[in-house]
Amino acid sequence: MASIDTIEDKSSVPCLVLEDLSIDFGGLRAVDGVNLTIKPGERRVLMGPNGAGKTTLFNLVSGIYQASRGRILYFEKDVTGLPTYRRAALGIARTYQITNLFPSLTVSENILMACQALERTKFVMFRRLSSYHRLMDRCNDLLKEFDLWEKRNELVKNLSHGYQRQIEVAMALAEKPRLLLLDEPAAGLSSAETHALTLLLKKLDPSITILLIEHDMDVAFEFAEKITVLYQGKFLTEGTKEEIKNNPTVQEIYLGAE
Amino acid sequence: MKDLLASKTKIAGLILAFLVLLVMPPFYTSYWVTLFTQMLIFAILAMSLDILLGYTGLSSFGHAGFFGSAAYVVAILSTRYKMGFLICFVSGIALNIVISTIFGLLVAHASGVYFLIITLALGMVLWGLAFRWVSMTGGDNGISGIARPDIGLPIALKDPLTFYYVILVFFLISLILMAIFVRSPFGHSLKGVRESESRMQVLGYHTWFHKYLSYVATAAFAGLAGALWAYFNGFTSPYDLDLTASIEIILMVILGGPGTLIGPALGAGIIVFLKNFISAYTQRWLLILGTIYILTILYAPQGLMNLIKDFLKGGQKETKAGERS
Repeated sequence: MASIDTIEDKSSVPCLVLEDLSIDFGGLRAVDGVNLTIKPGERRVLMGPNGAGKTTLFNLVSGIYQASRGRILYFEKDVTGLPTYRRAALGIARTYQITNLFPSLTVSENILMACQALERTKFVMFRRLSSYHRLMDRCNDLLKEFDLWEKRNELVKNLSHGYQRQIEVAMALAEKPRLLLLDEPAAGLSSAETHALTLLLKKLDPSITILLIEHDMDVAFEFAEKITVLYQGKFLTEGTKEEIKNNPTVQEIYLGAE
Repeated sequence: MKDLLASKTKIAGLILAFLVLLVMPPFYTSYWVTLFTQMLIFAILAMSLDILLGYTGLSSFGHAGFFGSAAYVVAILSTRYKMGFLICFVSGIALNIVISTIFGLLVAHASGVYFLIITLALGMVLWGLAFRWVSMTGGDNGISGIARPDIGLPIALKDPLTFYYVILVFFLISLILMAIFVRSPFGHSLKGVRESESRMQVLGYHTWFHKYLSYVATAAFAGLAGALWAYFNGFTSPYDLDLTASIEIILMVILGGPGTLIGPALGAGIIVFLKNFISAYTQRWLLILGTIYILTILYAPQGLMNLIKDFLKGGQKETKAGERS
């Protein structure tokens, strides 16, 4: 409960602020001077055609890439230069567009890896992991919550794509994040699976701030109050569903106008 | 049914190991007792590399360097300074921890082929020291005359059978320690590093530090094996820590099955046996070693232990080790 209280205390403080954020790959400026402010508990969708810099932006916020220019403020703390694992410890979690799990481990081993990631006990060398009942309980709760209980002893690589996407989200949530970056969680899912995932995302703790990259218009419009559109690494526009739908530039570049 | 078969095989394996290692040795000829002693020492060494290779997913080409440097510490302290068993033994492991905490700063940044190359280079540094620092190490001649230690037992350790049982105790302690280690929260995190380092970082693991600690732990256990080896052999030479020795250890792990602990111990037994057996007939031991290596890669890339596991699970096609490479 403590974490929720602190978020409420700081409700005036934005969860994430990007200031003039840019990154160059050689001659290519993949993200170009993006400014963005996201309130705590907000659900925001990032949209844009291929190469718009959405995933690169996620990589900048989660710390995979270091920004060439600009700042990243997370609850007013400058995290621009922090390494990835430090940002995770501050409560920034993410999923991958291309599934990035531990393929030769079982489902429960995968979830456990996320459960213990921010615990001090992860350095304990001479006591069995299975003797930490609190971690095991938390892992089992997540397995049930995400409908993975039946599959818990299967190797992740033997599971279907749909299950793997579910594990991606479960692992990100296992750490009780304050900011969750979801990179196309519905990529490659059937429409039934996408629907299930959307329901799941809607059920998440409202105090978690969520930034979602999504190509699927239906999912995007159903999920978010506000949508930001990127185009060729630059901020194009942001607004409500209706505003984005009716924006002529967006229609032209994203929806493909005549 | 399959579970039953698996547990039956497990029990059969345990009974077999119990008989072969604990009950039968008094009836072996002294040649076989000595051979089994050697197998157990290399089993500790192979298991220590398995922590790095099988669990953390980093293949080291310089593992014999740690094995050899602990052996040299024991050799130098016991022959030149007449130190007792405990000091020699602890110093051997302690020096390895010191070396690996320094080397670790360099190697923990690397992974894959780069890790291989940098550990190869550092292993050669240790070899170079043993070979060139003649005043201390005796150079190519090595150091001979390491006496079996007096560890306060009523019976003399000169007797091969007694020495064998002492080594068996060390082996069992190492096995238990390493088995708990790989099942610990930290051991679990190493598997994550092996599977996807980028995901681990995003989850909040400082993967560099995990690789670093894993490297040090590996070196410490290799030092334990090295110290025992010096007492067993009574002699150390630069050949204990050259590249061929490192490759032999890797082969033991790969043959036995990376990521299983028992597998590499089994692999060590097989390689030590073959080495002794074949070298009685031919000088071309390395040729045979190469052939075994090729056959393993072709027909059992996941190693014997994983092959058995998969067989017991019943036709589930797993290519654990193959995918890890």
